[in-house]
Amino acid sequence: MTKQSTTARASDDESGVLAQDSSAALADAWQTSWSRLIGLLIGQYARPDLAEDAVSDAFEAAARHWPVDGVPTNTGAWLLTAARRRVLDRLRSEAVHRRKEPLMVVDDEMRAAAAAVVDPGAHVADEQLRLIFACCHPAIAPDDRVALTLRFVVGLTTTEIARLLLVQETAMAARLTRAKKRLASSGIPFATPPAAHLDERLDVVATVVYLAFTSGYHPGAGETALRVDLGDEAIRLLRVLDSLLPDRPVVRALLALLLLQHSRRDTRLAPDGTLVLLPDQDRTRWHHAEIAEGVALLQSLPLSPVMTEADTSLVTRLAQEYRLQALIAAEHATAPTAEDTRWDVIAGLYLQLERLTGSPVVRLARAVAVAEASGPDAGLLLLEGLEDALPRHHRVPAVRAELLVRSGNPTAAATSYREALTLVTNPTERAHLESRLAALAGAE
Amino acid sequence: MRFVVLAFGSSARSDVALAPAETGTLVVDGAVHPAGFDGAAAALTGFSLVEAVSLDDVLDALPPRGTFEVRPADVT
Repeated sequence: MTKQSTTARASDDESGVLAQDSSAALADAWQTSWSRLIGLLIGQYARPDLAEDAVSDAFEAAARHWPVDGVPTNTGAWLLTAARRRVLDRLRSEAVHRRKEPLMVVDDEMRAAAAAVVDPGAHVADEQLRLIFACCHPAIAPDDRVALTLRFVVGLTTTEIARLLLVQETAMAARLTRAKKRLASSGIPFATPPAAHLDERLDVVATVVYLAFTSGYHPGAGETALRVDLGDEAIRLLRVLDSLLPDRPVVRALLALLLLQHSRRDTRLAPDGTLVLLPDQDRTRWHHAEIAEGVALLQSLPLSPVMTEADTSLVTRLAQEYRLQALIAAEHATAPTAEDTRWDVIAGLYLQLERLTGSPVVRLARAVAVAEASGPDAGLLLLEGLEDALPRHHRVPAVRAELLVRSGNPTAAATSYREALTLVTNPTERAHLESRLAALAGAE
Repeated sequence: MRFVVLAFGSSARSDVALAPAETGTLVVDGAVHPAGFDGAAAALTGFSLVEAVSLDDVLDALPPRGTFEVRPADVT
């Protein structure tokens, strides 16, 4: 081998390593920096309509430069500088377009404005929390607040948000466009409300944090089966919120719920990436300190799960909803074995939850609990008509299939599994359904 | 005597140009709604031009009772 070819191979190896490093660094930066960058840009320039495009452009630039120049030491700072440059370019071209001010004056004004940014939300130390509260402004429609926050704060795509909120992707795209336009043009401040107004927006904030958490466990399409980081992030945000607004039942109940659910994160997937259902999970690998913390939080909440007539505010209703869900999660988390699970207690809690929310998703979960407590036929009865309420939800036919197997009807079960396979988008769940269907092959 | 000219989709040769209707925020007896006033234009009984840093400052300064629409305006 010649010296020249050795050098060429060494250079190829080097660029291969660089490309690998930059690809990993980009993925990491996307998860850790996206919403922080959006928050910083909006805080500095008060132009939410420009922030998202600027951050996307910065990532695009990183994808071009990092494999060649190497990954910068501080990826967040690199991306922020690139994104700021994009915003300034857009502001300059807008100013030129308006022909109102000479370029130099605009530059000076922008520098002065950036230097004079006063943080009215200094009492909220956390940027992402400030961003959530800003997205939850009462002048934005409630559904739009959730969608906007999931986009800006959590960084979910339009497809992911649509799936999470059970609406068509085109409708979600239109909703996001409308919300961003309104946010940019209605005079809504992108700032944390003063302490006296924080409580008013707590209901939406709690809902959004929970949806962010949920999105980590149901990522939908794509190869990622779990986004544990979203769960970590949701719990971190709730802890900040709890320190800012202590003793709020809605925050405490939700924190308890998320801790209990998140405690099982290491056992949800097998080493080969296949799904491990709750009864088959290794309970010794659950995070028992988090379970203990969740149970302690639950015990610190008011005892009665039933609302009085006076307690009909959304925050109170949500607090009760999260508390009931946390009580269910605690039943699972504290049962010594799957066989010891108190399904009758869980079915009773789901009944209370269904009465409180009227949610078809709760009905679906209740059907599973009732089937465990009273047999598959009792569960199947509760599934009747659920397809109408959840037409694109693969779990309705998937649960029906499971219960049909248990009630000794493999042919009907196979039909339901096939129906579920036409609706499922996550590859891990698809693999699970396919294996269940394959297991029925001889019994049909 | 003073007069006010209200423009409906036309130019009024005014110094004040309202932002599009979609940017409006309705406040009814202190409750904030994420849309503009959708009643008849004949219900209009007055207006005021407010200098403020953000929508929140305007909302905080509104009387506790009554129906108001707050909309950004370009004043030249």
